Amino acid sequence: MINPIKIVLITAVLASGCSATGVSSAEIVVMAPSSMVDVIESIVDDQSVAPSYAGSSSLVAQLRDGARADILITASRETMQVAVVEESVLGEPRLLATNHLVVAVADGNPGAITAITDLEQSNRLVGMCSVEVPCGALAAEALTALHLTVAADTFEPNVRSLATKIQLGELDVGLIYRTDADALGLEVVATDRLSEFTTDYLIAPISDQPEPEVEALIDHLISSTSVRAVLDDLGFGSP
Amino acid sequence: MSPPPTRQPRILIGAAAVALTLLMLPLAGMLQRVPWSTLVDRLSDPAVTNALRVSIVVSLWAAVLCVILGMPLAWVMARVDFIGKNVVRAFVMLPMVLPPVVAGTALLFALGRRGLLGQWLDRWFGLTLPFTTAGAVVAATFVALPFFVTTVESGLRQHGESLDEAAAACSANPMSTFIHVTIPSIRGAIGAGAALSWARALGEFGATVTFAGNLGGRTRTLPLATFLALENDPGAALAMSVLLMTVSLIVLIALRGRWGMR
Repeated sequence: MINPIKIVLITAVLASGCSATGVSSAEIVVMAPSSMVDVIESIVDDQSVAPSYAGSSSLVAQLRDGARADILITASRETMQVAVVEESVLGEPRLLATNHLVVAVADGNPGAITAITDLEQSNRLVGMCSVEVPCGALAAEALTALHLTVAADTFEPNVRSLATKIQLGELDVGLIYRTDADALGLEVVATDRLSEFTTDYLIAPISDQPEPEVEALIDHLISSTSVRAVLDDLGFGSP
Repeated sequence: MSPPPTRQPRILIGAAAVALTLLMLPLAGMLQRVPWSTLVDRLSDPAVTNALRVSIVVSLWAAVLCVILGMPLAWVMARVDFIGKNVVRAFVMLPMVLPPVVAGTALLFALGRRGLLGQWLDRWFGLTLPFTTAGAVVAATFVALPFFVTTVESGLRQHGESLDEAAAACSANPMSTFIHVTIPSIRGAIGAGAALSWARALGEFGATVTFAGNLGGRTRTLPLATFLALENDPGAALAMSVLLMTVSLIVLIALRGRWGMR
């Protein structure tokens, strides 16, 4: 007779065996926000890196729930701070890059947007990031500082889904990061009023005593000219 | 005298217990993290009640549309033989297996402002579905429709054609037979299909956020509010999850009791 509990235990052992062999131990697991995909992909070929992409807050939540990783990159200071306070990240965060908001419009500018104040017009289809995620929090901060009242038509869960809807022409305009506008080739309305609203990308080793390879990879990401060229290309600002 | 007990292979029961554990363990894990003491406060928060209201409106409309659109389709699938029926069946089932985000993107390409059909809706009627409650209804209907069609189709197959044929023999016209004989004879399946599709619509997330966006009071349904709350207020997210789970469980348990899904 087979005891059901025994089966559960056997299954659990098998399952843990699978996960242990899923990621080779030589690979450095880098958790990075969606906006960093192209940067990380540019080093994947040369380095033994296993990237894991999601929104910054989701990454922090994954760490909280026990996800194994070597390096965390977040798209804002606040999200990194959460991981540090929760002791998911024990290493020292360093500045990797900066990003700022732009007014991105759909192809052909169907909303005839010429200034950021046009976002206040109720007949434009306006998209924002949800305030729960860094780009939405930054946009809300910017609009408040500029004394603008914008009735958005949608609050997207991440910046890429917002950028995509602008690209598809489903939205007239939205506040997104410069890098996402560049990545999708979106038209941007010239305004200097947003450039001061920046977000900092921080990078930190998970462990307070990281492996030399992990430290070397972080140094490489921060100071190598090749990575810096990719960052510049993508529209990120230098620290 | 009671019949002799059937011998049941115990290994199957053990394996079934593993499967059940897999299904229930995540729920148990969630329940032990729910902030029970503040549950009522969290659920009476305007942000939650707003999302609940949108969810109820959207899911009920979706269920109604599933019945109206799904009834004829289920009948065709059960009663009419035609070439390529297997392919049609695959299309009917597709939303069940498609990642909902893909479904939402496909809906944008079809019904968005610059979509295949959407551009004409916009040009001729000034009608744009994305970012409206109607858009959320369309997204929910798309993913929920297969649940209605498959349930009713199987009801029609079990019911068989004999009653319909008897009515036809009494020279009732086909449409009248459909309305007065076929539909009443499978009302259990229709009810079950409507409830299932409603429950699916209630839980819909990916297609909704992709096609209809996320705006409080208009398109932010409970699953969307839950997902966003996970970013910075896990307690609220858990409270809403409990609400969704409870409602869905009640529907599924009631289904079993009242209609006896077979």
